[in-house]
Amino acid sequence: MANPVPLDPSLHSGLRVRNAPDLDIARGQQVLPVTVHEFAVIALDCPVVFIKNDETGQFQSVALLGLSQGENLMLQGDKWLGNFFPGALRMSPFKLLIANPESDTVTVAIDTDSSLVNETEGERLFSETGEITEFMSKRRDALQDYVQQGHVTQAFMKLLADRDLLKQQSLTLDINGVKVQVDGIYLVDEKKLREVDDQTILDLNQRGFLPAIYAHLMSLRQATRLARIKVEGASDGPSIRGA
Amino acid sequence: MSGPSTDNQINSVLIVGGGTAGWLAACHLAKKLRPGDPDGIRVTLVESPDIPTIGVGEGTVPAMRQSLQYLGISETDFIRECEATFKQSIRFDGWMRNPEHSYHHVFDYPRRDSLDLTPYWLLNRQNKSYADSVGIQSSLCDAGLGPKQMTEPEYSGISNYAYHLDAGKFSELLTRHATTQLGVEHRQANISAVQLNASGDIDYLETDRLGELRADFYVDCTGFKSLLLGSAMGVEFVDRSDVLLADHALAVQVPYASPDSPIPCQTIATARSAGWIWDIGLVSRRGTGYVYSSQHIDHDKAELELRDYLRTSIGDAADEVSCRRIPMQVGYRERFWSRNCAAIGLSQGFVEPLEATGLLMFDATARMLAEQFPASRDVMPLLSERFNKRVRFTWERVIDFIKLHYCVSDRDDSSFWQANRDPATIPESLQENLQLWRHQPPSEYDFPSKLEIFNLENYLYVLYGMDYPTDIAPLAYRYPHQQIATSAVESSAALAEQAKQLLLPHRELIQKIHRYGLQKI
Repeated sequence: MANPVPLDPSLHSGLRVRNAPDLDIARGQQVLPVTVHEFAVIALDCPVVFIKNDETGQFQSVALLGLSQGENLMLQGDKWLGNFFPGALRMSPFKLLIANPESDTVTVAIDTDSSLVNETEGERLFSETGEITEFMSKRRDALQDYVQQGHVTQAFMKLLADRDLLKQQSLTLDINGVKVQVDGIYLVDEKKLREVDDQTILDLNQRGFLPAIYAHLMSLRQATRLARIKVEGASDGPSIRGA
Repeated sequence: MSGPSTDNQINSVLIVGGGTAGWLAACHLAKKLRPGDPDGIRVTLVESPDIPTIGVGEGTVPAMRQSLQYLGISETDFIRECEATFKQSIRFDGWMRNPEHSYHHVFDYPRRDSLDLTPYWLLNRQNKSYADSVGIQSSLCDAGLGPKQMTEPEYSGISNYAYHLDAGKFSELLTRHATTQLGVEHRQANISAVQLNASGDIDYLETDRLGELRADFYVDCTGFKSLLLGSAMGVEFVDRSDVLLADHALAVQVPYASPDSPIPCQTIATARSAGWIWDIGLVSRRGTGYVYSSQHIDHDKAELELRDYLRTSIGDAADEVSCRRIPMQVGYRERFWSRNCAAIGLSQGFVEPLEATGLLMFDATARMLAEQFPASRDVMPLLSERFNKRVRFTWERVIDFIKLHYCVSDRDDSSFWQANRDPATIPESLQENLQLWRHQPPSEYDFPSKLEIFNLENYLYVLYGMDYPTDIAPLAYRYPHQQIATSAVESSAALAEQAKQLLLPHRELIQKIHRYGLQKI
């Protein structure tokens, strides 16, 4: 998101936002962040893997959308080849910003550079009297949910790292006889998962993390789907249907 | 030889003294001897609640990284708790007659992927320093960058590194690790007497508050005093101040100009009229000090030189900071392991901290002792003889290497520097090597022991950092690949530029590690 600014009726009452996922922000993105709550549905479309954040070194969960840097195979033209739009696309052009780091209060911000934002088409953000509209109120609630999911996801990643359940492993694919390798990826180590003590399994289960782990493991097979999209796209073959 | 007798079995070790040496020894011994195992050996450390530790020795070499990892300590915890910063080099300033002279002794090995670049550098220096020609680390240091990215796991980096640390805090971390993770028993008491039995073994220790303490084996970590091995068992000290002339240190802790001042990613060792000044950047302060020879400068004058040095960075605050004077006993014990007692730490030996040999020797010899620790008294004479031979050899080689820094200098501005070049002060082994290296560069064959602490790379960085005059011209015909060498040097420069894009300024890296931690994988 280019430059989100806090929502302000005096600045933004004339704006409208198209109520659609923001595909433009996914263009050229090899990965998109996903929350642990999204694993099960994203897993039907593409691999869910873990990478390290460049800035912080912290693990984060992402949907793998391409097989090389800057490649998003899930987005062909204006078409998303998945059944489900990750929250990252559905939240845009809005974002929660921390307004005051000490009190942890947050404020809704908008990226006015987004292609969804204009003055003629879509939903209004403020009523004539400067109150936020029902649309905006729903979007704000959704943002809050999403941020909450983000916190749970962080806790999930921390638990995997602390319990030493991750391993680094490249995905290697054969594309028309050419080996393609995706590096910098971390996966749950199934062997270590089988060896964890009962208490940890119980904990993972009660927090809803166990289904997420299995969704992640099963999603890895979707790498071959990405490879297929790449091959068919390159050969100008039959147009590709979403899943 | 008779079969194993249960009477001669070693079931307990008592470490006496709790500085970094004592706790490192405790960690290494417990790691191997497994006190928590029903068949393991009990490891106890007794320390005085009243005697302060010396607490200098803030520099390490990369072997410390392997040791921490081996002992099972998290690098994140270590960095957060010990004021630790990264160290990629020692930068030597003013060690030659030209006061502007400066060079790096970096930790990365010289690149040899295409060929050994050293003779080519000697033949054609292309206006580049030795370190800049054979690797990237010196330029990372000059740019003030850390050695690793946040995405790299604990204990690995783009370049090879060690740490600067707060010795007191490091002791605390080791204490906790030894007692909570490795099963070391921690007792507090002052030792009032050491009792030997008729055969000369240590029988027991008398203490002020725990009565008699007994063990099958004792480790003397009591510092310069060497209460057990030196005082009680009478093992003599071998004085080597005939070679290494510095005999005192003045230590000062210095605040940063501001809390976000850059932290140098190297130790800075600046030569002065009668020794050299160390300057080590920790997170919230610098540790500095002047190592000098009282034969060549009086204490007051030394203090003035140190304050003058500090004035360039902290201004008149240099007059306010308080100095602590520490006499140094240069040399080592005649034996390091005698009967049922071994010494680790200052009780074993000491040389000036020019190449961070303090913690290095504690660590290396503690691990050596742990890895060969006898199961029975029957093998002790043999093991101790070998240990003594090996450790003595190591000390001699360390002394050679430290001496090298002084005796290849062309400084002649004071009696100290002149005296250092007097052949009577230079060990024969070092004289021989220097003689050879006038005619050809050092080679692996000059370092045949696998256990030497300073090896070919270390000598290369120091010799050629100090422009040692190896006469390579008569050998030029043996090195026909100048072009390959030139392109290797160019590719190093390109690699350095790439690495600089990836790496953070040192303080920023440390701050991020404090905030986010490093991953184990």
